[in-house]
Amino acid sequence: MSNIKETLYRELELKIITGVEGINFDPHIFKHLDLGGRYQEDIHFCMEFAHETHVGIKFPVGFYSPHGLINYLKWDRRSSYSFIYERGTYYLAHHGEVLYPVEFLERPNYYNLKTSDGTSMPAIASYLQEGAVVVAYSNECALKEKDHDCKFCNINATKATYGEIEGIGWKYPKQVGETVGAAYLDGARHVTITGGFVAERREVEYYLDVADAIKEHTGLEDFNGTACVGAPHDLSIIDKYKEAGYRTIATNIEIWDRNIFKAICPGKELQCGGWEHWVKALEYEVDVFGRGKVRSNIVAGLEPKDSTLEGIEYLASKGVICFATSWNPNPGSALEGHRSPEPAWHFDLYKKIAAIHRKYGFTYEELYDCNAAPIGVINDIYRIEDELLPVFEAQLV
Amino acid sequence: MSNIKDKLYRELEVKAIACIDGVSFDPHIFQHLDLGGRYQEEVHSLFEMDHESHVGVQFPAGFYSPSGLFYPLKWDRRSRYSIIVDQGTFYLSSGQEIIFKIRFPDRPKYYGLQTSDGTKMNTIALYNQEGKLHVVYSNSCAFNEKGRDCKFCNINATHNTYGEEEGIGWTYPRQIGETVAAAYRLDGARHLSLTGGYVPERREVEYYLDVADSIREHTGLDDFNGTAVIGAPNDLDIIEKYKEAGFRTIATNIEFWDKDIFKALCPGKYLESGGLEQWVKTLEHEVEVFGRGKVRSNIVAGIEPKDTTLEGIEFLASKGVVCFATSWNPNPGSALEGHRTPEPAWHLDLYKKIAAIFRKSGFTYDEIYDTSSSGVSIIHDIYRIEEERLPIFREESAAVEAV
Repeated sequence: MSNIKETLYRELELKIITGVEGINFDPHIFKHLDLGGRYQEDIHFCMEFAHETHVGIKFPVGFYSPHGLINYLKWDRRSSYSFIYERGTYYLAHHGEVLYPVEFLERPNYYNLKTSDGTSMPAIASYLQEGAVVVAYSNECALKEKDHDCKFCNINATKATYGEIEGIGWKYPKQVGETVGAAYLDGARHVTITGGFVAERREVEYYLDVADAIKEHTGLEDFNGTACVGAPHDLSIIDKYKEAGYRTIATNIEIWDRNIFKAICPGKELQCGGWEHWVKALEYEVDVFGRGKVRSNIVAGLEPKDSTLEGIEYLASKGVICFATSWNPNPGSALEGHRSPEPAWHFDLYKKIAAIHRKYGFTYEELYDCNAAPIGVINDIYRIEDELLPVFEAQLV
Repeated sequence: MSNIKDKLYRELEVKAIACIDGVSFDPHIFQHLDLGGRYQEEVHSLFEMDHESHVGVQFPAGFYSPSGLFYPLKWDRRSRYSIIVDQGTFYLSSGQEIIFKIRFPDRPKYYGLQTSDGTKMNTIALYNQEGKLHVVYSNSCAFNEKGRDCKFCNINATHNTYGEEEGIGWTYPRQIGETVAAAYRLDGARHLSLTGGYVPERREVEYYLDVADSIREHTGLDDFNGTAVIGAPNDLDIIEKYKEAGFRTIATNIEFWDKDIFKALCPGKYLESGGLEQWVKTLEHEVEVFGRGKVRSNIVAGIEPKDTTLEGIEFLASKGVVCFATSWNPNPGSALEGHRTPEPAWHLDLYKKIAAIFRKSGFTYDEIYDTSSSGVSIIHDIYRIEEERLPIFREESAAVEAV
């Protein structure tokens, strides 16, 4: 392995540690940072990822490692990692010892714009780096009406905490079309439409209207969109997403063990036909969209690792790219106060998932196109192995 | 609340951290401690509770704080707490700050004896403090033959790691009778739990009856205050036999209240002893046979949501079952190794709520003592604080009288 790859893997390990354990800092440390100006601020469009809520205090969305890996920011006062501010520079430190100076992520231009109805564009679509934007059409989930929320999820608590203060609410197709149009002018090249369940599962019409609005405002027939949907009762609905112009589709199964799925995702079990139906939906999506054009996700750390890997391998064999994201028992979820597995457990899992994706021939472009956030650890492993990070070009020069 | 109670409740926060996140120390720190002589050593009769295994390096079984609370020892190098030694005195510390001076438990006298067949008694019955014995008839579990171990359990891994090294294996009724008698006579022991992994073909009932006969013979007690810890039998009538054999109480560990998590994480218990419904039926039948407050269960706390655990404990309490919870410890060799248990504050809150359910249901200290294999859990501590049963209350009262 080249030196640069070894260095990047060490930075990746640190990224996982700080992603799982978080970073400790005085919440007012960023008062010197031009947040909302030069640097991109965190917006609670769906979920709070920090260990505590911080209403009214802005944090940056993330930062770069020295060799260009993008780290999201998770605030946790209990972490042994911290931010230090000294003479105009922020540093990441461990037990008080400086590891490296931190460069925060720059704010995209469209964050300064408003839609034609005067809505602030960052309240419509969040920029998730590397040209990917995400639209959470609804920042609440109707599963709560019957107390069927997924036990690991804090979408409704996040809305109750931040929705009003950050001006986040339901998004209309025209707002989405205009915002995605502006973001694409800024260089964005992928959009995910997602959100909580809507009452009576009326999302399909909405997704079609959004696709029309995006096509109109970007001028693109193929706008590289991912429709992130719950398993529909009538699988033939999936064809409509394809016809509407989405390039890829995503259906998050959350947990591979069918019994744990039943216990932890009561709404997905009771209102969407059970675990078997979620698997069927994914297989049908591959029939419609093709191999490598369908994504799923497992919340890693809720079930034994072997079970997660069994699911990812099974789905890969069917053409589904199933990611895993580290379970974050965040504030307001039914599992608040629980703890995610150790960072080393997660790193090992990510490496094994990347190996499965490779074994089934999934390309980096396929991973990129179907993932809402293309800076996940599995994407990083691909970008290190395939030398796709800017640092490799710089080294060549 | 008196100052002493306030102080003890604050100390329970320390105990929760030390027991859940463990304590860090150099594994050789105890080399000058007279372990196996004056002080009681840890014996791996059932589970390794430390974060790492430590074959060949002896640790003490736990330690007492100055106020008399007992802390089972859990070694974890990542903990914020550590044990340090200074001029022969051991302390619990947090960073540079000393929390308190540690006193290690004395080794019970029977630990130095052997049964008539030459087996060391400390490999037959573990001393769990407060007069409690823990007899593990089998330190392996037959579920592993079909890959059906409970996912949180490391009994088979512990057997593989320590069994030969520490001379732990199958224990015979006569060995148990002799050991229990010695512990009752020499060390003031007054309760025992008979437990172990599943045996093939569920032949445990005959064994339990033979053990009860042997204990009665060697202690001379008809009521020897024993708890038979058993899996849910397919034929519930069997439960009466345990009562007839002389066990005062019975325990059947349900592990989870959520039936789907039970199914996922306890495949052996689910497939070989029926679903959760059968386990609940068993517990209800046990109450009919043994009586209210004479039946114990346990939930592994921290895998299912807290509300689910509390719902189960409240339901079972309403039926007369004393259902404890023990903090999930993702220990080495279990399928969930590398996972983490919830935060100590989460567990302490749960324990306080369970103690409140027990009190509301009218369970007495004697009942929670007699049904549990541990007398030093945080739930026991809460009872002992509320009812002023700890020695520190007597010492304080004596001090006031002296003034």
